[in-house]
Amino acid sequence: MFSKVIHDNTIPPNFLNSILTNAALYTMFKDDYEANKDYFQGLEKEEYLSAMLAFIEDALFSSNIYNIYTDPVDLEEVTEGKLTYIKNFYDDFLLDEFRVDPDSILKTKFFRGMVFANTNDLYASKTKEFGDLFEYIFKISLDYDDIVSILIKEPKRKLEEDEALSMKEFDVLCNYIKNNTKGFVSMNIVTKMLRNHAYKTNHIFDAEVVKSIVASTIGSYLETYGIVVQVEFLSELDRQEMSSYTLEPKRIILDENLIDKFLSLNYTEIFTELFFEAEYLKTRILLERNEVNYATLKSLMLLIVSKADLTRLFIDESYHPTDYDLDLKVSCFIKTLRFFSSFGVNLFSNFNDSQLAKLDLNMEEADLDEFSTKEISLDQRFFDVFEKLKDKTSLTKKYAVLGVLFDSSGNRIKTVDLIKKYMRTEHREFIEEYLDSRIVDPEMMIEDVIDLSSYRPKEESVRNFLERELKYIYIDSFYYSLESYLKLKNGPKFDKDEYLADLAVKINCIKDTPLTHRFIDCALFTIEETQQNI
Amino acid sequence: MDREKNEFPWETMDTTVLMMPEELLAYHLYRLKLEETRKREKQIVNNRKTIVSYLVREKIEKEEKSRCFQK
Repeated sequence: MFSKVIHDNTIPPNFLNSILTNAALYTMFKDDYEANKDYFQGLEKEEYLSAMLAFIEDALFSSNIYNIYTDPVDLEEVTEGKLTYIKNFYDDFLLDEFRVDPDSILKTKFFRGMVFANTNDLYASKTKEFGDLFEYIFKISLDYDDIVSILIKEPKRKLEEDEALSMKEFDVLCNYIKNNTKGFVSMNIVTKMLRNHAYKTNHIFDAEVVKSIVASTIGSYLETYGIVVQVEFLSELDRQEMSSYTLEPKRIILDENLIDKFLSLNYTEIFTELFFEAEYLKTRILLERNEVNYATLKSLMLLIVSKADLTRLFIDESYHPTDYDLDLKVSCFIKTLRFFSSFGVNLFSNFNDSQLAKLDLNMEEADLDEFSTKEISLDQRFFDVFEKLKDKTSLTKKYAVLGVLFDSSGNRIKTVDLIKKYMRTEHREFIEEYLDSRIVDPEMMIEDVIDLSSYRPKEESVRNFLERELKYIYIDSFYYSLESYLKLKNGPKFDKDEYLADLAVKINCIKDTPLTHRFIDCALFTIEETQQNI
Repeated sequence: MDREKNEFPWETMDTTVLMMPEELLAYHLYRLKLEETRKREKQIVNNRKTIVSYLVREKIEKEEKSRCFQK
């Protein structure tokens, strides 16, 4: 906001500190600058203002604005008057600037710094002086929240309604994204800005906007798991130095080169890396928390099917099991493309076409029975691997969610027993979500339908749940279940015809009632169709 | 942080569930790219085989579907 001239000499911080804190020097600076310009090295006043603002912002973000290094005996005594320089600078220079050009409120990190200090500084929020200053800046001198909402109202509306933004409006939005006091923006703004960037509808992002958009995205994603995270960008050298320290668990550190790649229109790499780091972080935290929920179960299933060492993953932050790592990386790439698709930027076709063009594929090699693991349901793969594990008993004991689904010998608990045992407990929500979403083997489904159709719970809500499962869920899932299972078992030892015939017999053993009728019909039809296509 | 819950449908981004056709192809192609960087020959061969198998299967399915529209 204050203009900066780039030249060889920066103003020494000690000198800035002196001007700000020495009353006589400050008065001379404020009231008599031109007459004393030589003393101020012949630089323009604005350059000093710009440097002073940066100095104050640094102090606010330092988490130690009072420069206190040991526990003070009397906090108020030690801190009293120490922030006067901030208030003076704010009153004498910033406020005027804001009055003349309200947009400049969004051009400075000052307000964000005040909020940061309030949250992160050990002493700031405990002292009356800081509290008074905070109140003065955000409420008394101006109404910060009000003015910001007025400043961004029209640009935000235009962005959300896909109207073209003027250069000024785009700047206001970018400044808001970089400097707002919350530290993040809504996903609505993120997706619209990304879409505009991809379609070059508006103007150019800068690196700071990219950082903020990336941080907002991952913040939103991990918040669904109750995880708060900081995203930092470091150079390769700094990252290498960092690796020798034990990192805080809730930081994601990315290579700052990824920002340049994004600005050169490679959108996917930064987000793929971001989601990849987020998934590792999320997995570690979920395993640590060891709660009974679907997210934890899915994380466990993925690790178990890829035969990762769970104990090692838990204690060794540098452990990256190869197959799990690779699968996760690819999944995060797909997640990135799906993310962009969700707001109308389809990157799939371009990627697929460009990759296929580079490959010299021999179509003769095709084996129509060759399937990738992604075409097979995770639940089926998991059960297949888990039942053969030697340490399944210890896994069941260790992980609460496995302890719900398996008994102490590591054997699967039948669906009807899961419902009987857990529907009236705190795990009800998990059981409902799990039963609605999983794709298990057809035989398991048939067994379930037989068991559930003869179960008469007293509680109405459980009866309603059962009815929904039998009328809709099992019917909708049967086709996927069968298709996936045939792919899983595909091989010379597996006789598809025999299996399908056997399945048909099992279905005919289900008692035909209004609740089971549709399932029986649909399942038999699916089996017949599959038999015809073999 | 007071973010609105369910502000963005993150659950639809979950790639543990079965994927749409173009996603599946992208998955195989990206995986091949990574295997080539790691120079894991056996996995490269397997991935290529999976891709061609997938493409041929898709082609057959497409032809079968278009035949339904021909008189």
